[in-house]
Amino acid sequence: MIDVDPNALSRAIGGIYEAAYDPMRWTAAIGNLENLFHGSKTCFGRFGPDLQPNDVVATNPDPAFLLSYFEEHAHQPNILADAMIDAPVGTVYGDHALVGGDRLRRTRFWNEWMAPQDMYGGIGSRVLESGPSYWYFDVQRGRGQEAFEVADTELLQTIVPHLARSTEISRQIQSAQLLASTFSHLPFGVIVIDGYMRIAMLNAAAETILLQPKSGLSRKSGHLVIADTGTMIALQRLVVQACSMHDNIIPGGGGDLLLRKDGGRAVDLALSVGPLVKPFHELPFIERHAVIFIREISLDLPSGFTEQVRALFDLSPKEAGIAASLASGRTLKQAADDNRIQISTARSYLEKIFHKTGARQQSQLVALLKSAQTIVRNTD
Amino acid sequence: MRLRLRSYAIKQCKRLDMVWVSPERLSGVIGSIYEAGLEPDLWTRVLPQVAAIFDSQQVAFNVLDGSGKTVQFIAAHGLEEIDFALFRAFVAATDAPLWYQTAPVDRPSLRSAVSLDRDFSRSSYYNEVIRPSGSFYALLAPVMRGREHHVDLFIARELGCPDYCAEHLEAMQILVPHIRRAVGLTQRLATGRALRSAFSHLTFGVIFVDPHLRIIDMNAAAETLVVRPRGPLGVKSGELSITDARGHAELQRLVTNACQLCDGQMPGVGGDILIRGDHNNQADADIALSVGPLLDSDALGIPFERCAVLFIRDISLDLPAGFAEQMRALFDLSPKEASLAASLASGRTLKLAADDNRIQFSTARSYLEKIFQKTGTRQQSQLVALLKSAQTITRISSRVRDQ
Repeated sequence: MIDVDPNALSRAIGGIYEAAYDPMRWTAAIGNLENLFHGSKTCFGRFGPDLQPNDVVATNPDPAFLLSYFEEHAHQPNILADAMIDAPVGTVYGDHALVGGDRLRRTRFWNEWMAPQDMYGGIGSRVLESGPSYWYFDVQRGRGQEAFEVADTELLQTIVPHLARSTEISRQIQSAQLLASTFSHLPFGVIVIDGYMRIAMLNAAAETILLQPKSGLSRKSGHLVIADTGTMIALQRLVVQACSMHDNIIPGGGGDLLLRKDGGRAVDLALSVGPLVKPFHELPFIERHAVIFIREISLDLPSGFTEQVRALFDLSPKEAGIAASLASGRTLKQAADDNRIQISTARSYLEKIFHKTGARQQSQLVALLKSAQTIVRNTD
Repeated sequence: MRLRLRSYAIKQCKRLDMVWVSPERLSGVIGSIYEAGLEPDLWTRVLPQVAAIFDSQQVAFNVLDGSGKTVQFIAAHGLEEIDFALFRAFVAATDAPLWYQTAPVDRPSLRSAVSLDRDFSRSSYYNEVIRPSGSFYALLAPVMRGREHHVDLFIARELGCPDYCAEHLEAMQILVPHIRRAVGLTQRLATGRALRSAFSHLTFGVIFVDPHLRIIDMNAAAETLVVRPRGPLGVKSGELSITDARGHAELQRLVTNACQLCDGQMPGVGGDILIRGDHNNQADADIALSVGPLLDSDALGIPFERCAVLFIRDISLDLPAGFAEQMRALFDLSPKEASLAASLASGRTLKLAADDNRIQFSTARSYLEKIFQKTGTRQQSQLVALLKSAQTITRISSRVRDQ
C-alpha cells in the first residue's frame, strides 16, 4: 500500500509535460518527482557521445560534483553505467539490484561521488533511446532513509512513459525550432498565412520586404496586405484555394504572381503560393494555412556570391570577379571594365573559367553560375 | 494499491459513489490525453477511459466557434450521428443552451447547479435535443475559452442514474489542466508541421546533421539527392557520406566547426563544397553543398544533440518542371516565346534554341526581341541571368502540373 495524493501525482505528471515546452522547467519537474518519491537526489539526463554539463538536470546540483563527474567519472569504466546499458528501455530497476550484491557500494564511484551526495540507493530507468544516446531518470534516497519498496518501483513504472513522451514532444518542438531557425536564414521571404490572410509566421527576409515602404506589401494588424487591389484579390484567391484542402487532396494547388516594379518598387517580386501538406486532421482550433514564398527577381547577386563561386569552382579571385560580373548579366566588355582589366585579359580569364566550370559559352556559364547561387542568407 | 480522492461532500451524492482511481489508471488516462495532443485522432481512445472513471454513458469533446453558431465534435463517446445533428441544428438556430452560457468558465460545473432538474426536464432543449441521446445529468468542464473558440468536455449520465457530485468535480479538476495542455500542444505542433510542410516545397535539399554526420531530419528534395543511385552522396547506417574521401573529410570539418556553439565558442561560419559528379554520365550533375550553423539552437536547455544544417543543390543546366509555364505567367510571354526563353535559360545558344523549338533562326530572333522587351533586358546573357533568378525555389508549380 502506498499513499499517493492524486493531486500531487497529477501535478508531478503535468510538470513533466510542461518541461517539454519549456526546458527551463525540467528542474522543477524533477523536483516534483523527488517529492513524490521522498527522494534525496534526483536526476534526468542524456548518456552518450559528447557529454556536457548541460546534458543533465539534477536537484540541488553541486557544481563541484557535477564537474568531477564529467572530468573524472563520465569517461571511465563505471560499473553502474555498464549495468544500465543492459537494462531494457522503459523498465524500472533498483541500482543496487542491477549491479548485484553490494558491488556498487565497493566502487570508488559510489564512495567518492554518490555517497557524499547522499545517494545511498536509488531506482531509475532508461527512458528513451535514440541513436548513440539514451536518456535516463534516477531518484535516490539518502543515508537515514528507508530503501525504496516495490510500490515505489510500481509508481515509477507509471511515471516513466510520461518522461519518454515528454522527451519525444520536446524533440518534436526542437525540430520545429530548427526549421524555424533555418527559415530565418533563407535569402527569400517565407510567410505562413491562414485563409483570412492572417500571418502566422514569417522569416527575416519576408519581414524586410514587408517593412520596405515601396515594396507594395505590408502588414496591417497582423494581416498581409498588398497595396494594389487587383493583385490583392488574386493573392487572396490563391491563399483561400490553398487553405481549402480537404483530406490531403489539393483542389487549387496555389500558383504564382508577379508584382511588377512600378511607381518606386525597385525590383520585381515573384510570389508563389502553395498549400501546406499533411497538416493535422481537420481540427476546429487549428487554422488551415498556406505558405507564400517571395523572391526578388533581380540581377543583383547576393553578398558573398563571388567568394562562393571561387570556393566552389576553384577560381582565382580575379576569375571569380569576372564570373560574378557575367552572372549579373553584364557583357564581357562591361565585366572587363567593372574589374578594371583589358578585354583581352578578360577573354583569357573567361577561357580559364570555361575550363574550370565545364561551360562552353557565355550564356551557358551564366545559367550554371546562377544555379550554384547560394540559398543561404549571408549573416554578415 | 488504490487511492481514493478525498471527499468532504459525500452527502450531496444521491448514491455513495466514491471516485476510485488507482495511480496506474490516473497516470494512464493522463498519458493518453497527451498522446491525443500529439495525434488528435487518439481522442477517441481517451473518451472511453473518461467515461469509465466517471461512470458516464456519454462524453463529448467539442468546440464552439466565437460566433456561438457552429459546434464541432473533436471526439465523442456513446453518442450517435443523430445526436450531433440535433445539437448542431439547435446551436445554429438559437444559441448555446442557456445553462451552458451561465455556467462558470473557470471550473467544472454541474448542469443541475445551473438549471434545476424540474426546469431542465421541461425545457424544449432537453426534450428536443438531448432526450433522444438518453442524457440527463451532465458535468461541463471548460478546457479553453478564447475569443474564437470555446473548447469543452462534457460528460453525461442517463435519467435514472444519480447526479454527479462534488467528488466528480474534483476529479475533473485534476484532468482539465492536462486536456488544456494537450490542446495547446496540438496547436504548437501545428506550427512545426506547417514549417515542415513549407520545407517539403523547396527545390533544394535541406539536411540537419549532428556532429557525427548522423541525419536528424531532411526534406523531400534532400532525400531524392541522397538516394540517387551511384550519386556522390549517400547514407550509411543513418550517417551522411560523400563518396569522394577528400570531400567527406571537408564536410566533416565544416560540420564539426558549425556544431561548436555549445562550448561557448563562436560557431564556425560554415562553408561550401563542390561535389563533382561523374562527367561520363550525363545525368550526374555536380552538387553544391553549403554548411551553416544553427544560430538560435543553443537556447534549448536540455540534452539534445547539437546540429548543423546542410543545403544541397544540383549545379545543373536542367530547369525545374514547369519552368516555361512559370516564365510565361510571370512575364506575360506567349507560349512560343516562353519555350524559347526556357531553352536560352538552360544555356543554349540562340541557334540551338531555334532548333530545339523547330523554328527559323530569324523567327527566333524576332521572338527574342519581344522577350527582351517584356523582361526589360537588353542582351542574351542578361536575359539568362534574369530568368534564372526568377527560377522557382519551390515545387509548387510543378505539383500543380502533376495533379
